Amino acid sequence: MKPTDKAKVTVLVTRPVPLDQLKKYASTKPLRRPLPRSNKP
Amino acid sequence: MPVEQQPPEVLALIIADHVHRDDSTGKFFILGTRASVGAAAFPFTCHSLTVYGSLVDGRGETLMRLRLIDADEAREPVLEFETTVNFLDPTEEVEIVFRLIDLAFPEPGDYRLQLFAAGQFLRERRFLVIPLENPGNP
Repeated sequence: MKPTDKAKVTVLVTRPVPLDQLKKYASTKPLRRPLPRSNKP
Repeated sequence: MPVEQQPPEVLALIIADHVHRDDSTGKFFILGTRASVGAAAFPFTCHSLTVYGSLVDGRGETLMRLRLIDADEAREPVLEFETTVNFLDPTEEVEIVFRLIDLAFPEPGDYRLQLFAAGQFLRERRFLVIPLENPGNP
């Protein structure tokens, strides 16, 4: 990593749903995913 | 043998002029989505750009890496940055905003914004740097 890059970036992180509400209401059923796409141009 | 950490899944990766966080609700407001930027001259310095990401299915302390490179990786990266995000639960959606300043683009062309986590590639999107044809005109 270039040493200057840390000075160029500010990071903000949020958690829209509190953990206790997740534990209470979120199902552990996994989210569906699309099939992988090929990487052909 | 160390167990490979499962990286989070990317639900959204958006480039914008600005992302505002409302202090009372904690909500992010994405302003001015973009996939390109116009430049009057080169090298061009983009003074402000913001990246919004929404991630899910992460586990524990996870090293995230953001890169902005030219598509052919012929030159040094415009940006390389690492930070750690703690995923408390796999069902948790974590929103992360990177505010970038003073990005130096040496020439016009196709650049790529890449996001990695736990040492694995997650997502890439295109960001075009386009010369303005009439930079004097508003």
